[in-house]
Amino acid sequence: MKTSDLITMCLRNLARRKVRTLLTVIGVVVGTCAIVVMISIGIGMKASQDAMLAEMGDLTVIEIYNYGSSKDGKLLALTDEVMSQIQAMPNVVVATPFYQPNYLQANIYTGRNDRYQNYFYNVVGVYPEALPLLGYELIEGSFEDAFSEPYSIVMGQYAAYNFRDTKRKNNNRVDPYPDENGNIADPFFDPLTSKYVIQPENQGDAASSARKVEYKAAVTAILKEDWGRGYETSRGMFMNIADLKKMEEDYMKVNKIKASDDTGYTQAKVKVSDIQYVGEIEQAIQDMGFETYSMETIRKPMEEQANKQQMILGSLGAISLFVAAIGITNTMVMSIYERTREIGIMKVVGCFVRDIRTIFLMEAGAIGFLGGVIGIALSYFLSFLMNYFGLSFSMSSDIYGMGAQGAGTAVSIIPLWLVGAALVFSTCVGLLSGFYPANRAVKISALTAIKQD
Amino acid sequence: MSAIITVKDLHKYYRIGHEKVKALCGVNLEIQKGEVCCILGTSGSGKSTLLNQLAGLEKPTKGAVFIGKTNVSKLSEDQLAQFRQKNIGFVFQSYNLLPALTAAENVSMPLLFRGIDRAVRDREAAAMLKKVGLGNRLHHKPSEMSGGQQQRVGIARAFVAKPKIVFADEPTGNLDSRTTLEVMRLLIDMAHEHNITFVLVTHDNELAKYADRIVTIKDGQLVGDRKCAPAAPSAALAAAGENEPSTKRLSEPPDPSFQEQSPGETPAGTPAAAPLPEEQAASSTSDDKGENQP
Repeated sequence: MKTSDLITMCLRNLARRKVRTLLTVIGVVVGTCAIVVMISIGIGMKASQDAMLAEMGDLTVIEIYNYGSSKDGKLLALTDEVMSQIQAMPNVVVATPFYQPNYLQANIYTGRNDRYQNYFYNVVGVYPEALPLLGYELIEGSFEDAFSEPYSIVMGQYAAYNFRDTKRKNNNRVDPYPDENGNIADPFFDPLTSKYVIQPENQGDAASSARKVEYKAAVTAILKEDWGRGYETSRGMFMNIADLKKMEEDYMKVNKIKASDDTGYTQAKVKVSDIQYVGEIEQAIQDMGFETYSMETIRKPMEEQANKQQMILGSLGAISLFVAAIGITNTMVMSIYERTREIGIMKVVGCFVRDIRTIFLMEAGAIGFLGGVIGIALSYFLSFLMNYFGLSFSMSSDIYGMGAQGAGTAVSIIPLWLVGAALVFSTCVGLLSGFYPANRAVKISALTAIKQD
Repeated sequence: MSAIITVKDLHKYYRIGHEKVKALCGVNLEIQKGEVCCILGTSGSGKSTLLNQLAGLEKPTKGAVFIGKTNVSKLSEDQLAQFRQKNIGFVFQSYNLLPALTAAENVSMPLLFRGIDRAVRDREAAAMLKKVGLGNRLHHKPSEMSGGQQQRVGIARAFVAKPKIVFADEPTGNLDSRTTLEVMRLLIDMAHEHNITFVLVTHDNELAKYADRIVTIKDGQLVGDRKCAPAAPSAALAAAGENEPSTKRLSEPPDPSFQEQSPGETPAGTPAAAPLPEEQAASSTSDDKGENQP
């Protein structure tokens, strides 16, 4: 038989028993709808979780800590060599120390006659190429030539407000907070055009030697504040790690300070190309003996829990689809009893066995497909209602006590793949349910069938 | 003439409970191409079993049935289906039309299974229905037709695919005597027109008269085999008031007004009892029977 004739025949058979077909289809509709809605809620939950986590920090950054880490009883050093090893790992975008000089005591001055002063504590040294790769954003300047000159500084958005006016006793700082009119006062100076001087504080003997060491510095770019990436973007400063080391070395020489055990950097950050590699790379770094922290430690259990919930929700839906599948089988078996004679006649008149099987499978598959289509349409409607009335499954505020920014995402999300999967799944359920009835239909003896009156 | 059906030492046993029933024991038979052969036997003689064997509906216990050179009992189910599509037509006692389909769709069924285009199917079916005198009943469901009309649809279905052999199992068993006459004449005419071998199974001696050859079966064995005058149907028709020999009919184009002639064949022959086609469509089977009681 031609495929078009098979399809016509199958549809006619379904149309012949409208009520029964409709009832069977409704079973599939309910099943499909249950699965799709449940999974869509799971996806919505996950999306709001991810949104919330993203607010809390970059999900693909691993922080390394080295406060006396040891392995096999030996103290570990987080050195440039180790950093380059990590950098060489696959899927690592960049690995850089976050170096804060331990020994250096200094001040940074700017303005006429070095009027504005800031204690030189909030400075972090990084590899010069690392900042853009770590995902920092600038509001002024560019990363390209940020560290091209020695003693260049990339300043946090509000770092200029840290400077103190040394000429005043009181009220010697500007606050970066809006007044009642919503205006934010400018800092004392323009951070980009001002000239800076870094002056180490000389102590002890060196102070009496009165040898004044100072470094001329310039601010080349200003970062956009992003608390997800850390304090430095707001009130900190970044410098080329080499400059910072040089200053510290000078300082230690002048003050005759001897470094204790050299354990290298205390902190470093690693940016990974994709969230899926975070766990793996973090594990590798931990295997080297260092302590690490990443959003993965929060994200992973949350994701696992979300998956578990999604599984439970999905299986609830699957149960109803299973019931629907039994309904399809039942309908098809019933229809075989009714159509025994018809099948017998068809066989005697010369219908191929495979065509009979195809007709029955098609009918069952069509019920599944139709139920799937209607079920998906209904799911979209239910999903719309849920999102409209905002049944909040968002966990951000309730469980973790963080800001509820993540709650902005939809409760139920139906991605396209879910539509496709649901359609394929419901059709397959139909086909599977039709398998047994179709084989029964095939086995009907033409002779006994036509003798039936 | 060559034998189109060859039966060799055919045995068929059934098991009913613990008892073995011998439905056929050692049947040998040859049916020639174009022959109208009647298998005559009483109820339980094994005639229906023989027909089922000939058509490959059942496997024999022993022996073989050849149609042409094909051993029917050795064919697989799909081969059988294909074989039936090409070679065999069936007319049943209980018509066996699909109630959900119209007359035209029922007739085109064998062509449908062959995978022939819908347009061709529709054309062939319409032509065939016209030939059996149901040109104006194409889109009626079986439930809207009288028994005689349903059987004519059945006949159209059996002949539509131009098979080599048509089997008929008590084709008039459910019909009254007048309709029986019409249906038999139609069957014989169609068979002759296309030179189709026609095998008729019946218990009715009257029907047997239409055949070229009568094979009598009793207790699963052939007990008689005689040739008769091929004019038998014409003779019967002559007795019914029709002087035209059936062979002459064949040379004529299919007569669309065929139905209207049938009342003339009844011995009573009262024009008042002759329903017009339009009226007949509305009248039920029981009405038909009532009108035709002598």
